[in-house]
Amino acid sequence: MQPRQMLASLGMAFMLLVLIVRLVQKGRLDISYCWLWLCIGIGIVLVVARYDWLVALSRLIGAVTPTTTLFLMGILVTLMLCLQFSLVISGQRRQIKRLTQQLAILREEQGAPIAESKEPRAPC
Amino acid sequence: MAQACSKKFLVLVPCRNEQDRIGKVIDAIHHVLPAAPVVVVDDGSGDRTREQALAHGATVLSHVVNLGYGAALETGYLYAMKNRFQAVLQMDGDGQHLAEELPRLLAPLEAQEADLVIGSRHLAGEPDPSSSFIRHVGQKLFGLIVSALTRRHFSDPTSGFQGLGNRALRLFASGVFPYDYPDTDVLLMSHLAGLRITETPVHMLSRAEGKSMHTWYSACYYVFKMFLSIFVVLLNSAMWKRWRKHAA
Repeated sequence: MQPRQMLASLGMAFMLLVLIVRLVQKGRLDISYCWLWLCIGIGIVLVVARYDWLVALSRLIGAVTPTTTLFLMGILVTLMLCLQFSLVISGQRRQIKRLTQQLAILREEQGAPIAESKEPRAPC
Repeated sequence: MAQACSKKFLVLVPCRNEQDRIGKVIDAIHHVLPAAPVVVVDDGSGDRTREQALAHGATVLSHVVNLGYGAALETGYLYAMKNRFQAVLQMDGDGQHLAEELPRLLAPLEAQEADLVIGSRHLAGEPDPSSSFIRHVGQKLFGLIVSALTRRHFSDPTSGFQGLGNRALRLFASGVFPYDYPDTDVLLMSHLAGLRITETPVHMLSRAEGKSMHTWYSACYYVFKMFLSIFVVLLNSAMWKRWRKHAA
């Protein structure tokens, strides 16, 4: 790996790690969801520090060049991120459904009016 | 509130944007079953459905956002369980289902002959005029699939005109009920969970006005979703068997 490539990769990894830590510190990113981002940052540092590991991995999976392996890893990590988002969204959808249902039942029991905007919406 | 009324059964009416029809539906139910509490689940309507239902003497559970037909039904089941009702009769709020047919759904439940009663328009020899072509094909296909898997014939597996006994109510309120299009998959789940299912012939009307919930896009989604949902129900066979033993 060329020194410039190493510097650029380490710089990006460092910026990513600092950004994640700052977001967690400010409470804008939940600790539960930052682990994959931290893995990405650490992964970039590892690839730079032990380039021979990337070459060995390329040989292992039959990739012609390490660049191909990097692209493959990038795609896999992106897919994992998407899966994590889907899991989080699914969980939140369940929670919103249950909250809305309990709210409807509680409001009926308390006889409270529903205060909300009644702008026309498309039917089902 | 419904607690003060009979705990035997309630009539559940899920609806959305049905301000012009919901009053007539409630009046018809009160006419046929005067003592039965009517619970309308208003699934995020943008019109005056809630006010109309309240004015006609129904108990109204209002979703502040639209959750879908299955979730609206589930809200009604949760309410029925919380208030210790033994059975639920459910019908749509758009006027397609006839209140006069409710006693047909109730009879097998009261006689303890069934846990789930499905009102079938096909047993009464009627077609389904509200279905798009894709949805119609899907209904036929899934009807065949569920018949093959359960080894019994269901003439109208997509009917939303149903009566639920206590066991069905407990199963459906346990968090397994789907958000949308609860039909063939729920039927299969009920069968695997050991519910006694029966069909009774009913007449249904086509929608005279308003917009059906079944668009071309939703029909395609329905077919895809139902395949996946049936697959997941089969994957969870062990869970339904456990529920069957536990409920027994």
